[in-house]
Amino acid sequence: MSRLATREDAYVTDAPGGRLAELYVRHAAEATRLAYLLTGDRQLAEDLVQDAFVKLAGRLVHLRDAGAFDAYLRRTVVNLANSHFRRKRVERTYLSRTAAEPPVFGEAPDTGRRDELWKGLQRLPTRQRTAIVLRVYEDLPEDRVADILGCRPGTVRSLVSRGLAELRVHVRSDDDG
Amino acid sequence: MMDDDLRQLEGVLRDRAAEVPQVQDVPPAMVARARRRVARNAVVFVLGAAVIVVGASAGLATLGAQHGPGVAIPGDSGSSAPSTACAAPDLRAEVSLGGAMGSVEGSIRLTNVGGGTCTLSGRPTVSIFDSQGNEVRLQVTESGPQWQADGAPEPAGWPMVNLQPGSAASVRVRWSNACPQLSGPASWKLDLGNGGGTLDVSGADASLVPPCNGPSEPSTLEVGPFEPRAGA
Repeated sequence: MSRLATREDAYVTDAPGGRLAELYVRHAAEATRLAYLLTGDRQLAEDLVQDAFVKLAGRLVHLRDAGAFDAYLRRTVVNLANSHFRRKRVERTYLSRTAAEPPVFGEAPDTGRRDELWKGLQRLPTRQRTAIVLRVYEDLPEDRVADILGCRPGTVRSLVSRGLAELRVHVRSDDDG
Repeated sequence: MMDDDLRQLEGVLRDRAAEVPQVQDVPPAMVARARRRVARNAVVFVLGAAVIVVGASAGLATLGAQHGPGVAIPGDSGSSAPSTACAAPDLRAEVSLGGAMGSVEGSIRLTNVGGGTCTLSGRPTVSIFDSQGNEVRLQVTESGPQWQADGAPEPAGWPMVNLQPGSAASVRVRWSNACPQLSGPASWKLDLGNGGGTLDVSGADASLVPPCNGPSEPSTLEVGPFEPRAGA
């Protein structure tokens, strides 16, 4: 086995003190919170975060510092959530040709304005929702959000602004109804 | 969207995020999947390395023939003049932070405002205080320098950092899980160590406080060593 493989295996070990275990215990909750806000589904969020850790396991050896892992993990979680919604979109397009539209993800009984905001957020286009979560919850500056989304800071501003406007319309229309 | 709505949205996001508990255990199935991935990567790595070794051997054989042994390593001059250790009156400290995964993280910039060159080395002691001036109880851990996290080459002379007048050093910081949640803004102090004295850390970001995500978990502060400020 190569030296790299041996070292990586040491990172993956589930023994106490194994690097993957250490990083998982340290970062998984935060990453799951982010994934939950991006997807609106706790179980899916946990699955995405585990996928992210598996994906990153092969690269841990290159990360000498846990600080860098944070940024890698965040980006991976966002990418996996986006991929999930891309797949869902394809699935929905197919289903719409053969059956009725499936119910909106995370639909719940209306228990007030805060729930409306949450439901409205889940109905936004993926990139708008992601930009809002990263800016409002993660409090990341526009340039870092732009880096994660692979766009310019001006586009992030526009995504957040349009997302918030749609959210307002959604909440108002539900208030009126 | 009005400010109130935005605050309400932020509150909704924080409340929903708080539904996710701290993680105590590592799922064995995930570890097994990670192992399989590492094994697959290893096969790819070995094949790639074999190709590189063959190519590099041919290249080194050519270089060896041209230069012979004893090639000097650039940037390892070791010729900088000795200077005194920096003391608190020589420096101005300013923190720059951003939110990240439920934490606030960034760096403390230390600018030499004195008249002469001075040196920093090691790791400072950083303390955080609430708006009443009470020290926040923190579990402090050591993190690596930013240059290492960025995969950048080790700065010349590091871990010593030579500060000419006007130039700046940097210390990475990351504060997580402020529990119980602070009611007002925070303030920071930095002790240079080795009798160098303590500095008040300025900057608007100093007042930022991370959310309390795990009330039963300690509030943690990661502090990096002194390092030259990138681009300084």
